[in-house]
This record gives sequence, structure tokens and C-alpha cells, in this order.
Amino acid sequence: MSQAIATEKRSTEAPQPPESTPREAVRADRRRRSAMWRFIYLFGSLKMAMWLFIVIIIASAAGTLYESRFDAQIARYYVYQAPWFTVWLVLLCITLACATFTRLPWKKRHTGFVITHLGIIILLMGGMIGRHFGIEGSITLRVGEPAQRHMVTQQMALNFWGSDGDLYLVDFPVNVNPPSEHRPRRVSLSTGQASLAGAFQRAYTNVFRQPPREPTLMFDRFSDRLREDISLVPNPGSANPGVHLKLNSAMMGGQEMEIVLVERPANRSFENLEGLAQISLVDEIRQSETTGQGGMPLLQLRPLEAGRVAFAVSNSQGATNHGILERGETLDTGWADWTVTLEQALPEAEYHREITEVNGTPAGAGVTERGLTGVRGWLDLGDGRRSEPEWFIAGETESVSVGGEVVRFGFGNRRVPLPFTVALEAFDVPRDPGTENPAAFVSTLIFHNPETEERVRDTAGMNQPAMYPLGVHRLFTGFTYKFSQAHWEPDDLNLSVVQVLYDPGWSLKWIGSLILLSGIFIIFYVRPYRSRRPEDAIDDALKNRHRKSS
Amino acid sequence: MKPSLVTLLLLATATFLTAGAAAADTAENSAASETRALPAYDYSALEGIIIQEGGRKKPLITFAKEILLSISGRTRLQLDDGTRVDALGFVASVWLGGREWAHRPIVSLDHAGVKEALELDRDARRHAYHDIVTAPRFAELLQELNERTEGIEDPQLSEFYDKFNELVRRLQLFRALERGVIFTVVPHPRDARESWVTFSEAERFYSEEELRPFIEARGALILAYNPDILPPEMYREISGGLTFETAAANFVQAQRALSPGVMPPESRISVEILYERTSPFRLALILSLLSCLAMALTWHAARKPGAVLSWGLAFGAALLLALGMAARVYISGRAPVTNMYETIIWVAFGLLVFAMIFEFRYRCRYYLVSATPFAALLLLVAESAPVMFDPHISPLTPVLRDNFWLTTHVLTVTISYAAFALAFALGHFILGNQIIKGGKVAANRELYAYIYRALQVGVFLLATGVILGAVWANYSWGRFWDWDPKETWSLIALLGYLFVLHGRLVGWWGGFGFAVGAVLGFKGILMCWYGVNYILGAGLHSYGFGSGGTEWVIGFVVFEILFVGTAVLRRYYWTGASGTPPGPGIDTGKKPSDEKDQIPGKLGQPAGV
Repeated sequence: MSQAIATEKRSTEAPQPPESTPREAVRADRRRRSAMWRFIYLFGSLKMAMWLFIVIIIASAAGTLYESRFDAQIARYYVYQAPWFTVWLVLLCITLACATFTRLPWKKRHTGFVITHLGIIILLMGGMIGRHFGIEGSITLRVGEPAQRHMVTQQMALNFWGSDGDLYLVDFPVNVNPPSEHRPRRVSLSTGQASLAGAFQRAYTNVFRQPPREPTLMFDRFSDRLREDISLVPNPGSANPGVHLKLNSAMMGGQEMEIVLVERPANRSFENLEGLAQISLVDEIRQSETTGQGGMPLLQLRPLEAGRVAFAVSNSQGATNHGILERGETLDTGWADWTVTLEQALPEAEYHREITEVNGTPAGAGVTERGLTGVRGWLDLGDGRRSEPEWFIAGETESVSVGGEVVRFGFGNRRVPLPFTVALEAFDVPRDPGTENPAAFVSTLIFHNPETEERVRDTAGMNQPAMYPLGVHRLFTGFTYKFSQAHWEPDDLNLSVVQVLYDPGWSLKWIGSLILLSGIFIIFYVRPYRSRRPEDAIDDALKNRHRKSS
Repeated sequence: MKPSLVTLLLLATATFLTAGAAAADTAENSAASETRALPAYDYSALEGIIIQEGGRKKPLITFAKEILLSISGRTRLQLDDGTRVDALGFVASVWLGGREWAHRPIVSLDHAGVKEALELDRDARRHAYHDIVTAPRFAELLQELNERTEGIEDPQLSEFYDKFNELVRRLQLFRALERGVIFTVVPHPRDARESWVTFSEAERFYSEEELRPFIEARGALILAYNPDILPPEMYREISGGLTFETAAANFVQAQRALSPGVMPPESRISVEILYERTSPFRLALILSLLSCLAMALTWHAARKPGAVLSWGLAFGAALLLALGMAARVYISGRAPVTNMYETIIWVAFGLLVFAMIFEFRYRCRYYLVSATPFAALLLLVAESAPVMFDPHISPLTPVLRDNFWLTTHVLTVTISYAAFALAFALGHFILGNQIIKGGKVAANRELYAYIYRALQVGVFLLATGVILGAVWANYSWGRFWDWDPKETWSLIALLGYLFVLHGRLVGWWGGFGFAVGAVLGFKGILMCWYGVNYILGAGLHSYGFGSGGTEWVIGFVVFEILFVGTAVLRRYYWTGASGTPPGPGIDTGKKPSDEKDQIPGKLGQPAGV
């Protein structure tokens, strides 16, 4: 370090401050006397920073290769949002902070150095705050549909009803870290107070791939190429009536829907058609009842005998119709142009669902047929009893049972509630003259706060996000939700997907960026506020030349 | 001339029809039309005709160059009989002369596998439309391609099908040209944003009365192109001695008169014609090389006038680049940095400007003599690979349509590449000197300082540009930073240079290692600039994606690594004769005590930080 002093001595720009000469002595003294200073000098060393640099460079490069090979989600899971990478960035922050402390007491020439490092620390802190307290998700909106209260994030989660009746939520990143037969994913169903011993036991059985010792959901396969076939099968002696219907709409592009309803289990006895109408299996038709849940138009069905049902239907205008429907007959529901055809009706039946993994064409051949997403798994009670492996579909309420124990659960992309609702009023896609190329995308959004009854209209364009709640302080602090245009469907111009971002680290990112950039500028170009560098010799020579010539 | 008007129209139409029929005829018949040489008119009279294509209204010269480039990979054809045809001559021969091109080798295809599958001549770079579509396996391959692409938004094709797909698109374009469906020259009567149509659909927009002058001008033009179908006296009588050039000028006027409200301003069209005619970037390339020569040849004698001349030539080159880019800005109404071609031009411009500024300050000759050949190389790459680096001016994707952020973010990031390119070029002096001399050469210490000055500019601008990009992304995509490959690689490039700068402070390397870092650090820039778009092809910066040239870029990278490796080996292992004594440097009052340090001062230590 003595050579550093030598460099300073050589500087001819400014007279040396007298304190700088014993600098090395100050450092040695600090190290001797305090462990904290030893830590600061260790972490504030440039060599430490260099190693952090190297690892970040290599890991980021590897991440982009991952992304090119697989997809962005996987790169994020293994690199950019992996815990070790976060630890690494925290270490970088510590190193930067320590490096600035090693310069204490700060002199004028340290200005550039200190504020550059401070800028990076603030920027990284903003990023971490955003990661931990911010939310990023998307909302799929359609013109004319009811307002949305939730956004969907990229992360998958699983929730289950515990034995205490409460709903529990756990991370379930099977899409980015798919389980395998060798390494199944375990979701422990223990709901009591988390005991240290229990946690250790769980970790032990998990790491050493022991069978679980407590009720656990086990999953050993993830697929996004599943096909679901539902049917109604006879089950004599069950006294469980059921119907099989086919729904059709020409207006919705000849869309077809298969529906199977049975009296038991109860959650299979009705079907909500995307929140627009309800079909219910009832034991007695009540003609006075014209609406289902939430005031939806209702179709009531009661199986009479094999191939015959009684029905009563109402639409949103209040018109009603009732009668008998025979197998193969079609009923006009009065809900837009939807029709219902009775495929089968049985007095004693069972709901049957078969999920198969579609063997897709080999990758790279150009055909990517995406089916339903789901996982294969079973329930292990931890005492040797376990159910047979079966497929479960994302986004549905599933149940699995063995030995009289029933567990209900569901999984899918995590839905995060918004403190307000958002609806799509209009979606415009102006085109380039003479082509079909979109020139812009504009979603007109209506925000509604149910508490204050405030209603605000805003547009989310390609480079102009919509913002809610409004307010100058929110704009600068980031305590607001930003809505940016994310996707569109060329075939369905009533649909728009917006990206939602809530980022409380926003202001720190901006402030950090500004400080960082001014710091770099000072380090490079503002002489009294930066250290002297050997390269300055060429400018000194230039000055000397000018002096001589003049 | 009055009574002959109807005759003229009839004849013109007849000509067109016969010619059209010939085009659709069998090979034997068309051989006759093939052998007819193309008439040698001054086709520049046609260049002001405006055509709406690809979302833009452009003069015919632009359209002609673009379409010939898309089909054949060239803007000028050299035919098998040795004659040369420029783009306008080619388009006129199809549009006005109804000439047959299906049997002439003009469709570009350079993929060996596809050629083999179609049993085409392996050595030929261009093939006849007819030969391709009648190849035994063509229909079968087309069927397979359709199966792989039908109804799929972004099909992942193998290299073979990708190339075959490109070929099919060229063939479709050729067919569209031959059938005339692409000549949308009839303007919409009112709305500047609406589609234009071809002559056959013109009645959708206009009454017969409104259309008559335009139809007549077209008939006259077709007749003027093919005067030899009539006996000379008869032609003179009918046409009133109208030359091709006058007929073309009349057509241009008639088109504008039809719907003046929807036409792009004449000034813009003239600028575009001038831009297409003059190729300012090629001229700049030549001036750059001359500037380099002027500096290099006067290294030992006539230094001052040589430097002034070199600076002047570099200024001329930069001015031409600036004018060319200004023309593109005026034509397109946006900053000239939206595709690979434009960024290469912009970086070459930045390289020249930085070199001129530094040269003006330090008068050291190194800046210009290293920047000019590199700028010339960049321009050569941009101008010689139009298929890879598309020079077309096209409308922007919606996400880029925010000129303020686009301008600031992209201009800042790409201009930083220019500063790094300057450091990269300067580094070659030190490494080259090392290779020639061997041993621990103490090179010109000022040179390291010059590299440092260039890197400073680069680091500051890249950091600024990356942050501006984050600000824009926050706006446009709703997040500040999300490890998109382009974002990540720009960060890697930046960290790489910071690594080089800090490594010198920590004493891991001295001046020589610093020069190595300046050369190798540019690999990060190449990856960020070219690699993300052309090799990785992932992420949100997809509007700049392309393919091709990978082998050249990898070749360049390998060459550079070998170059650096040789320099390192020459320094430490194949030292040859003993190292030369330290060169002249700036006297800082202290002689370098360690061979490692060639930069004035003790670089092995944190200098007073």
C-alpha cells in the first residue's frame, strides 16, 4: 500500500493534504483495534469485488444461454432469481459499502468514488425491495366482461384444505423445476405449529429420499400436454343420477363444450359457464327459482329415467321455458345462441374422468400442441398407506383420498388480489396504411375502487402505461399499479392482456441510477472531485505544450 | 393526336395482354421474349412513381431495389449473357414490357442442402423460378413445409426448412411481381392511411372519367417502352413522338394529380430518390480508407499536412454518413437506429467522430489511423451483406414507436459501442507491436492512456444507455430490469470493461494486460450487439432479430483470440531476441521500475483512491 502513497505524492495537481501521509498507519491501527474494521478492509478490498464480478459475469452469460435453449422462466429460476444469485448481489452491496468506508475520512477527491458506489448500492436495494415487496403479474381482459379483481403471476402455487379446515398456500414451481420419479416434489400437509423437529425430519426424508412420515402430497411428473376426457358411466345401485350434455354456440365460432353433472360429489352437480350462466342438477325443479349464483341465468335439470330429463331454464331477460328433454334432443337456452343437447341421462351413474398425456410430435418439428397443464401425484399418509398415482389438472379443485382420508387441493399460477377492480372498455389496434401490421395497441381501462366508489378511466398504450391509484406522490414513490400492454390475439380483438406492476423499490432505482451516472461522470471527468490517474499525464503534457507555445 | 387516342389505348392494352400471355406461355415461346434485349432507356425517369408497399409509400426506385434484392440478393443483375440490368430496368421489363424472367437464373438460393434436394446446380448462386418449381421434389417439400407452419404463430423450423421457407417466400414475391398484383400504384382518393390498389382494381376508387388521364398516361408509357411492336411511322403518329422519358414523367404527374392529398410530399420523395441514387455510405467508406492512407503514408514525413488531410477526409466521411442518416430520418420520420444495418452505420459514424475529437485534442495520429479502417470495415459489412443487414426503410413495430426513448436509449447504447470499438482498434497497435518485437516490449506509454480515454467514454455512455433502456422498459414493458438477454449482455459487456479497468488498479495486470482487455472486452459488445439478435435470438429485443453471418463473426472472434494469444505468447514465451528498451514516454519524474507497467505512473496500485 505504500506505493499508493507514492502515487499521491507524485501528483502535482494539488498540494497533498497532510493527513494522507499517515493513511497506511491509520489503516493498520484500525485493523489492530477493531474486528469491524478488519471486516471492512477484507470485504472492501478490490480483489473481493473482482471475484464477485467474475461470478456475476459468468452466471449472467450462462443465464442467457439457458434462456435461448429453454425459456426465460427457467433462466430466472436457476440464475437470476435463484437465492444464491441474490446472496451474491447482497455480497456485492456489502463490498461496495465497505469499499467506500475504507476511504474514510473522505476527502474531496473521493467524491466521485463514494457517490458512484452509493448509487449502485441504492439501485440494488431498490431492485431487492421491488423483488420482495413488489408484485408482477398479468390480467387477461375482454371487452364487455365483468371487472377483474385478481392478477395472475408467473409463479405457481398450491393450496390445500388442512385437517383444521383452513386453506393453506405453498409455492409449487413445478413449471420451472419439474419433479421426476427420482426426485418427486413433496407437499407436507402438516398444519400445526411448525416444530423444529418436524422441519428437520421433513428435510431429512426429503434429502435422503425416504418415504414421508406424515401426510404428504407427492408429485412425480409435470406436463403441459394433457387431455381430459369426461364421461358418464353407469354405476348400478349407486342411486346417484347424472347427465351428459353437449353445449354449442355458432356465434362463438362453433365452440363445443362437454359437460357431465352428477348429484354426488356435490361439486360436480353444477357448472358455471365462465361466470355467465349456470347449469345445475337438482332433485326437484323449482320454477320460482330463475337465477343461479350471483344472479346468473339458470338451467335446472332433473333426471327422470334413462335418457330423459325434466328442465326449467331462464335467461337474463327473465323469459322462462320448461319441459322434458329426450336423449339426442336439443334445447334452445335463450342465452345468446347457446344450445344444449342431451347426450345421456342415467339414474344411477358415476362421473368418470380420464386424463392422458398426449404424445406430442418430437420437438423441433414445428408443431407445438399445448394441452392442459397438470401434475401426476398421489397422497402418502406417512404410515405406509398411499393412493394410486393419477393426474391432476391446474386451475381445478382436485381431491385425492386413501384409507378414508380425503384431501382437497388446487394449484396453478398464483392469483393475487388487487385492492380495486379493472375492466376493459375498449381495445383498439390501428394498422399501418395498406397492411395488417399493427401500428399501436390501446387498451381503455376502467378502474373502480369499491371502498371509495371512485371510478377512473385510463388508457394503456404501447409506451404509455395506465396507472392506478393516481397521485403525484404515488408516481414518484412507486406505490401504485402500472398497467402496460402485454399481449393481443390477432383473431380476437376484444381480448387484451395487460401487464401489472407494483414496485415500491421504484424510486430507489431511479435515484440510484441518477447518482450512479453522475458518480461515473465525476470519476472520469471532474478533476478536483476525483483521484489523480496515471493517464492524466497526457493531458498534463498537453498543457505544458500549450504553455510553451504561448 | 385526338382521333388516335382510342387506338392508342387499345394498342397499349393489346401489347400488355400479348406480353402478359407470353409470360404465361410455355418455355419455347418464352425463349423468344427472353432473347429480346432489354431496351436501354434512361430509367431514372421512372423513379418518381410512387408505390405503396410494406406499409410505406415509396418511390419506384426504392421499391425496385428492394424487390430485386429480396428475390436475387442483389440490387443489380448480371445476366448469363453478360449484360447488366439495374433494378429499375428489371422492374420496368416486367411491369411495362411483360418480359419473362421465369427461365432466367435470378432467384437467390445458397443453401447446399436445399439445392441438393431440388437437384439444382450446386455451384450456381441463383436459379430460374421455373427450374425450382418444376424440380421433382418441390411439391413434396412445399407440402411438408406447410404441415410444419400452418396455423402456427412462430414455428421453430430446422435449418433446412427455414432456408426452404425463405426460398418459397422469394418465389411468392417473384410470382406477385410477375402477375402484377404487387404494383399498387393507384392511390386511395381520400384517406392517407388507407390501402392503395393496382390498375385492375382502380374502378373501386374512381369513376372512369377521373381515371382516364392516368390510364392514358399508363398506356402511353407502355407503348413508349415497346415502340418496336409498331412500324416506326405508325408509332410516331400514334404517340406523337413521345419519348419513354417524357411518358414516364407524364405518368408521375398523372399519378400525383389523381389524388394529391394522399401523396407523400414531393420533397421527401426527392430526398429518397437522391439517397437511393447516391449511396452516401459507400462514398464514406472510400473516404475513410483514404483518410487512413493519408495518415499512414505521412507517419514519418510531411506529418502535419498528412494529418490535416487525413482529418479532413475523415470529416468528409462522417459528413456523408450524417447526411445519409439524416436522409433516412427525414424519409422514415424516426431515429436511424432500429435495425442492425442502421446501427452499424451509426457506430461507424460515432467511431469517426470520437476519433476526430480525440485527434483534435491530442494530435497523436493513433486515433484516426486506427478508427478509419475499422469504420471502413463496418461500412463494408453493412453494404455488402444486404440479406443479413436489411437496408430497407420499414415501419417500426409498435413497441418502438416512442421516439424520445427510442432515440435516447438506442443512440446512447450504440454510440458507446463506437467508443469501445475505438479502444479495440487502438489495442491492436500495442498487440501488433508486441507480436513484431517479442519479449517484454515497453510500448508507447501514451498509447495506453489513449485507450483509457476511449474506454472512459464508452463506459459512461454504455452505463447511461443501459439505464435509459431500463427507464424505457419500465415505461413500455412495465418493469425496470428483468434479465432479458439484451439487457443481460449489455450488463455483461459493461461489467467486463469495469473488470478490465479495476483489474489494473488491483495489480492483476499492467498496461499490456489492459490492451488485451480492451481487445477482448469488445467480444462482449459483439455478443450484445450481434450475438443476442443473430445467435441467441431470444428475448424482447426481437425487432432486431436476423440470421446469417454467424460463421463470419465467429471467424472474426477466433482471429482476434488468436491475435491476442500470439501477442501474449510473444511476450512471455516466444520472446525471440531480448526485449527492446522502453520507448519514449512522458516524463513523470519517475522511470517505470517494473516491466509490467508501461503506463506512466504506478498502475499496479490503486492510484490514490
